[in-house]
Amino acid sequence: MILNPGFFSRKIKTGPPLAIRQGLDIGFINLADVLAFHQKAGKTFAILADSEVQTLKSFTKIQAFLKKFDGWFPCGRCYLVNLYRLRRSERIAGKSGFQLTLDNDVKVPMIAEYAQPILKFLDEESLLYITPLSLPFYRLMLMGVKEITKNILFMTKEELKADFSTASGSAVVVSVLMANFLWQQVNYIRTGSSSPVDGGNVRSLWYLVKPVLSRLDILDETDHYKTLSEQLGEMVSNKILSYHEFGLLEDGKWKVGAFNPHVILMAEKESHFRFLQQMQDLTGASIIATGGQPSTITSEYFTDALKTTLEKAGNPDQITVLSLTDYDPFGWALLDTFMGDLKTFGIKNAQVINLSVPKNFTPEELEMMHYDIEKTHDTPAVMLNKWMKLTNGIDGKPWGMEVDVLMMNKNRVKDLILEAGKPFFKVPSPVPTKLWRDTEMLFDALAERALETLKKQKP
Amino acid sequence: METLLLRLVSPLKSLPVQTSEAVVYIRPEDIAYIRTTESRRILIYDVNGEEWQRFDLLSDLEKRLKDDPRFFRPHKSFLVNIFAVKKLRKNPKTGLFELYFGDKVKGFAQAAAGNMKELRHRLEL
Repeated sequence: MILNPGFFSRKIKTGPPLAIRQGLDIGFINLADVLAFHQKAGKTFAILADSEVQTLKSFTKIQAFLKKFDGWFPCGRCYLVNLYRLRRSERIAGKSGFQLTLDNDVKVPMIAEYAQPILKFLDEESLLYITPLSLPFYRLMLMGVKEITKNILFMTKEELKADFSTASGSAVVVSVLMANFLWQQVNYIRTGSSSPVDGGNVRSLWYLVKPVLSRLDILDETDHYKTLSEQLGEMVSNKILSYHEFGLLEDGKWKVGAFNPHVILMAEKESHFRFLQQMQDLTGASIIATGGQPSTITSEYFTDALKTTLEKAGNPDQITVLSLTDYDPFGWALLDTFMGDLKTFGIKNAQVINLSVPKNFTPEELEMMHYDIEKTHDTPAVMLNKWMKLTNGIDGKPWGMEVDVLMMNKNRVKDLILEAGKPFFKVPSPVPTKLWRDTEMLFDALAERALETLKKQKP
Repeated sequence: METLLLRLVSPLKSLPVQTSEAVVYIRPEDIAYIRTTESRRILIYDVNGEEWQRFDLLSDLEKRLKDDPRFFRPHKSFLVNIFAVKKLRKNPKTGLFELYFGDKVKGFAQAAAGNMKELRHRLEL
């Protein structure tokens, strides 16, 4: 018969008896019931699940006695713990050591120098994280997210200060509070609660948490809404949570194409969206007008819809972005952000063709309609130098061109899009827009009829 | 000899899982079942209804728990604690057997047809 380790349940008494002081008598407990030993004032105590009892043996003798048992380790000069009863390990705020939590929430401090044999026994590399550790979890740790049982929205001022103040206890760290609030809310949603901001926007989340800041008397001139949206954006970018989970509405200017969804016409300015729509009718490409820096929520919703359509289209190998951004450092940075967002949200294989480059402007436009980037004084020198290295500006001069100059002649831009997109369009332009519109109308009519039928069926 | 015997009866090491601020150690006997998700995460459901995550492979965990006779892998995506099983039913739609672990534990584990003989043996059916 082979007996594997753990053949006997932990609930079966497996340890030898251990003598303890009971007044003038000597009592016995089972070693299996002991969570830890602690030495204080020259006396040794066995820590049980619900009490502490003084042992007959000295701390040194107990240490020697425990050597023949598996799982017993010193975690400081005065503590010995049974690692089979370990439930949790974490950092002690503001200190260098760790805190070990054993069964029944018995807490034992641990000095970092004692970690090695314990880690070897646990077969782990750290008492703070497991290997492999996922990046989102690592980010959560960096953001100071904790496991908080009580709903943050209903915490008292004192509770908030206890949980979110700096190590010195001086002030509440709003960014940490916001991250914890968002993490807590998304976990409520994940465990079945409905989103408190379903159909709302990021502002709706702000209105929820605003009374908490008011309670802390920190609703001052600082833009805490910005902190909230930044923390939310960071958590989304790090794939910790998503805007979809909150059910937030997004009214960005974008639409996934029906015939060539893998070709994306991207414009920087919202005023160009109507033109993009016309181009979509012609090419069936996907379109998006970011309105300056693309917001994370727009990027998430756009890429989610795009991925769904691409999946139906058999996941084309190559995604091509035809961009219409200003020819200047900010336009290029914006395009970089957009391409980065595509990658973050799962569109890995995208290439970009920038249409607003000097060769697509007329020499007269370049001469008369450029602007001197250096003289605008809003572009950092480092950013400008980098852009100049990449593009050489216009004939080596730090000049930029607004994309609106290119857009003055819509037919030119149309031709540029058709020419640049031609190798990538799977359905050649012009796509059968009429059929497409008819299909959309048919779907709308069907949805309407379905609603009417449902209404009739209601008692 | 005494030491050897004592080591033999010592329990299996707990399984560490990650939370945002600590490492939590789950005892093997407290695990109801373990499953992989589409995003290649490992979800561990304990008998108290709590859900924990790891980021390695199910086969790694299977190796880690191989000395514990309670654990059995009835399906490539599931590792179950036989002692925690409360109900076994055949899903008429999928034709697969499903293992349930009581009201507290969310979801269920599946058993592949090829593993049913072994599962029945483990469950003493």
